Amino acid sequence: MTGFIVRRLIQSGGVILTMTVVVFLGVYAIGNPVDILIPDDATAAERDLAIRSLGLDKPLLVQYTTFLSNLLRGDLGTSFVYNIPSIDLILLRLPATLELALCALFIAIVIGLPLGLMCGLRPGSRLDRVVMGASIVGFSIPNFWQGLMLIMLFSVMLGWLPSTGRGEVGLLFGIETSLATWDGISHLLLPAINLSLYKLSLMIRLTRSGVREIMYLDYVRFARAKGLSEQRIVLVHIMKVVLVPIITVVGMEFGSLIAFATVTETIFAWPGMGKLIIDSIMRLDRPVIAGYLVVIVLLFVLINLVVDIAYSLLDPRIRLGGRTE
Amino acid sequence: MTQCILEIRDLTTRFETTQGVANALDHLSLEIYEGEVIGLVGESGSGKSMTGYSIMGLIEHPGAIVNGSILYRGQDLCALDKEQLRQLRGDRIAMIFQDPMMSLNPVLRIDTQLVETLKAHRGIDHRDAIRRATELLQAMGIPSPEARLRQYPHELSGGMRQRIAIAIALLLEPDLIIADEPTTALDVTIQAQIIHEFQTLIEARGTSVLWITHDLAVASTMADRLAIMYAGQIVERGPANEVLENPAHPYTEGLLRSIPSRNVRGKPLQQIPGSTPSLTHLPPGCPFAPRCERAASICATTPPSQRLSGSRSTQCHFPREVPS
Repeated sequence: MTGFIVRRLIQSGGVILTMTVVVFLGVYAIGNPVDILIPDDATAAERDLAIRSLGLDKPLLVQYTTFLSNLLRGDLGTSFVYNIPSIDLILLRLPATLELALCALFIAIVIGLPLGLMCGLRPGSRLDRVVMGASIVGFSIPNFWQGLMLIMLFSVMLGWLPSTGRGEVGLLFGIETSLATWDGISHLLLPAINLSLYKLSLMIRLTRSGVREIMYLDYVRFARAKGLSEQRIVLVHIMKVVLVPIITVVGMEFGSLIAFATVTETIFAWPGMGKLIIDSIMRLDRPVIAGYLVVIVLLFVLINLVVDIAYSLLDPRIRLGGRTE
Repeated sequence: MTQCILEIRDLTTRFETTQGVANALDHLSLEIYEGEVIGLVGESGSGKSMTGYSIMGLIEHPGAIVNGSILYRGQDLCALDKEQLRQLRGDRIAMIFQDPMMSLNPVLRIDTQLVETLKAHRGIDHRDAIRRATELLQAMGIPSPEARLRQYPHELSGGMRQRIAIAIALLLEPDLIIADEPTTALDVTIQAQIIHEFQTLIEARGTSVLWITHDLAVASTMADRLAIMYAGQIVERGPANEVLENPAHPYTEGLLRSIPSRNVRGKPLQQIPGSTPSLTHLPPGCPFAPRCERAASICATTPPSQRLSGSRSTQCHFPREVPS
């Protein structure tokens, strides 16, 4: 197990290094920040000075090594716009995005797993047909339109939930979160639902097809022949096997939840990282864009590592490193 | 052979498929006596496994038992509710499956799979359950059972897994074990060992066994009585040695002739022409008639009824005379 984790960490390092090259080149290709940073009536001398002070006159390779060595010291540059270190800016917004993504994931799992299980156990039943139909809708509706419809229904027409902002934040177990206050929860609900509907549909379908595949296998039949209770057969013999692929997908999808929270955050004016990156791209705030991308890559790598470990704990067949007699 | 512990009467198990209605079991009757081993022999698709599943109450949609009764010590299993049936399954009647690679859950440890069976039927504490499990693994010829208990199925060989599946079936000392081709997927040497260990255990306990197989040779080493199945019906039945020496039904004869070891050296191996009929499109008369060398016109139109003579019975218009 330890050997496996060490190997994975080394691989992760390689992935991150590759990503810095991509991030650097990608960001370098976007416009010239000097045009935005200095006033329109600046002289050519002032302009040269700005370029030199930002180090933009140096060769690309030198700029990259500077970027990399700063990165290793945790320095992602200072935001052109806010004039504070971009990593601070991002970390300030990270909790809001994490909170949104975690809540969306929670909704998808808590509703998706049981629904998928019930549908899988009774294929063709009325519940199954209704849920399957609804999940196709959940898959197909564009996220931004769905968000607008949710706002129209619950904020405009029914007036139940607020449509923008994060609301009041309180402390829960020492963590600052919207879940601590009712105002916060009411603000969180719509964006979380909007973000979760696609994942919810995915979760239902995955669970259902997993259950359908496994419930007719010999070992489930053998479990029945042993006289186990239906509850134990479903919750242990079927669910534990179904969970293996679901864990992988959940991990991968959690990364994408964070990365693609952007649309939802923009619609609901949720003060998270996604909104920050959109704003920064608009203003060509390079250090923030680069910083955001690096943080997202790190998150993906971390999540995948956790998933791999969870995966191997669940499924003994892929427990790497082996077990000795 | 004293008391009858299981009596199947006129059992029909039906599958309604898109191709039509198929009677996997067609008015099947069979008695199993205390302590006897019955070999249920037939080709694939003859309904052998369905007989086992029907007894266990494991027929799943779109299949259903539509006629007949299964009496376990006088109690009709078809009339029991789900919970009563569950209590009986694994406890009084156990089943072993064909493919040892598939019958153990891949993500649960061996001890879990043994102990859960005990706990499903008895209020037994964990330590006693483990002790009992260890005993049985040992009896099934599994070396260092304590270590095996902590392993996962994928770490064990097919033969080892089948021994474990058999140990699970024997855990609660059932009255009847339905063994659905438990040695078919194994090497011949492993097969012989497992059969030997299994025989020793059931003889000591007086357990009855319904040994389902397509292999007459295996059945003849195990069984006290044989029942030959074709297209959901039992076409011939009787004491094993009598059926093997003097088969009355042409299908039994055909099966015996297709055993390679019985063949005269150098002569081509004889076979039964054709293949098992589709259950949705059975001929109106005897289902075996299209493949039968003795078939006459009556066979194509009228299904034969059962003929009894002493301890034997056949379902054929022209059975070979057997010395009584």
